[in-house]
Amino acid sequence: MTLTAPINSASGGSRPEPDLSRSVVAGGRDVHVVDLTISYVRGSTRVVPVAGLTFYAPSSRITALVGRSGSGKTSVLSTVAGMLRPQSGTVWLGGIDVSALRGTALDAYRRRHVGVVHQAYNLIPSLTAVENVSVPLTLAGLSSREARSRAGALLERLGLGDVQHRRPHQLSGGQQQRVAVARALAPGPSVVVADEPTSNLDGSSVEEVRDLFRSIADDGCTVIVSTHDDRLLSLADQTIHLGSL
Amino acid sequence: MIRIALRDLQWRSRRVAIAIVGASLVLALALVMSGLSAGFDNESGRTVSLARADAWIVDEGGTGPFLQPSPLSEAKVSAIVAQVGPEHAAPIVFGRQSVRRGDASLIGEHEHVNLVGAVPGRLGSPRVRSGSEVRAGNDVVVDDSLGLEVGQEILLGTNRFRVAGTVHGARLLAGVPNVYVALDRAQAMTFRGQNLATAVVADRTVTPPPGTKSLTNAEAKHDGLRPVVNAQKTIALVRSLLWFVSALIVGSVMYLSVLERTKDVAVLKGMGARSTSLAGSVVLQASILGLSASVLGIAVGMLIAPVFPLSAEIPYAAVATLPLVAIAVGIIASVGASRRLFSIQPALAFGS
Repeated sequence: MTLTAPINSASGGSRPEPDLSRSVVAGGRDVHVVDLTISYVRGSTRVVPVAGLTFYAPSSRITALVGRSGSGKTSVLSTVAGMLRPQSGTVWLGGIDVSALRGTALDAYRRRHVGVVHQAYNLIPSLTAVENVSVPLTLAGLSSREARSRAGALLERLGLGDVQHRRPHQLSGGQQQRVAVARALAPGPSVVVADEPTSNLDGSSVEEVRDLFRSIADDGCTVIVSTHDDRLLSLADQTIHLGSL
Repeated sequence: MIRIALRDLQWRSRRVAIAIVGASLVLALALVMSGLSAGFDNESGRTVSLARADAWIVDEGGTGPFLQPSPLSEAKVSAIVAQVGPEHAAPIVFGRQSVRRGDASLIGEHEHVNLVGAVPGRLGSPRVRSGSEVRAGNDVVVDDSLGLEVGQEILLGTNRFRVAGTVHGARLLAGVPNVYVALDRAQAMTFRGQNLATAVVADRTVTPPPGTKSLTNAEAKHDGLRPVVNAQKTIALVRSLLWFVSALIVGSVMYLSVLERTKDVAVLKGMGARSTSLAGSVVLQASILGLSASVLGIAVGMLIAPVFPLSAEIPYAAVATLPLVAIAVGIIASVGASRRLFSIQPALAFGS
């Protein structure tokens, strides 16, 4: 089962398919973090959760970030996702220097190459499941109809076909998390980052999410997950320890 | 983004409905204010046009034919009329008079009227809407806002008159109705029977004799508006404040909406949505709010305008422009929300 088909492989849309050719493909989907330092100001104090971090997250593999609270796991994920600018160091996705991107190039990077799964799902409450999954597709330039069609198909593959027209508050935690995963996968990203994806889930839902992340990696994506959950850690191909454990 | 904006409005429908109703009431009041101001303009304009004149010759020391007029002497009146003949120029008298029904009871809440004396059948004597014009000495033509029927008797001061006809919209000085009587009766009541006039109206150009001046219809209308100029300025100010309040209502709803959606906005930015697109959706929402409020406001305004004691004549132009103004108000109101939106960092999407 392929979950992360590139968006430009679709056909039959009412508008020309967006050109999402990836320069990154030439350099692969591997993530390479080099000498990364992240700092920010909290109140009157400058916090440096990550200093000089270097790691390599290959595609088709699951990389787990572990560490105590405040060790910078989320900051690293944000930086890889192009949502946080590091103080120094570089983040490479294939041939793209993510930390050098600015403005519309950074927006385009987020649209085309990154899928994010949040701890609290962060589905948009006013939209149905299928509309939530459609959002990144319409942002990528697909027509509304085509986006809904592809989103519906993805939800079907994830076993959510019968709840695709429900709003988030009408879904269980596990279903919301799967919708969130579907939304992250919809545009066919090169890298999927997930922040504590199982922290709000019960046992059976954790199993579902585990299987899902394995499938994503098997499809060739780079998966980087921050977690405290041993059940998810056991799935990881490599583990990066941040801060002192 | 458009779908998300519309869905969000739907999702917050109760709050949106309250905001629309609140803003519409404010816009309705603004519309009625426009109507009141226009009503003052219109009543003065109609009073002038009912005279069927193009020029108003008044004493040089007076401001015009209606307010604090210095009377014209018989000699001056004769000199003016002699220039173009009595068919084309005629004296009028304008004053104030108490009014009662024939049985001395009040006519509604009207205690006073504007008394206009004119030569029957000549310029200054208005065409009637119903009944007949002033012919006999005790005939009176009244504005229909008095609610009198042809044939009814009224007292102007202590003088008894019979309603011969009615005219529409003949009011002045903020809704005070006009009554039209024969010139000599008006002179008797205003100038103790002296053969004086407050103005001579003419339908062609005349040379004002020394000590007089000629006013256009626009200048005569302006004279009728003098007592309400400050009222009109106040109305304009209140109307501006009402626009501001409606903008505040729409703006605060939009701002709160963005505050509540901080995480949603961060998530959308995290997915690569541009800040300008997101701001556009806020502007769209504010415009929809403003437009809906204006449509409801027009309906409410039309409904409450007749309830006002003063004549609120809502101009078509105000009705036509209200939706545009409301959209503009919405867009301006969304500036704060948009600024807030721009400041939201996508990294905020992380965390529980």
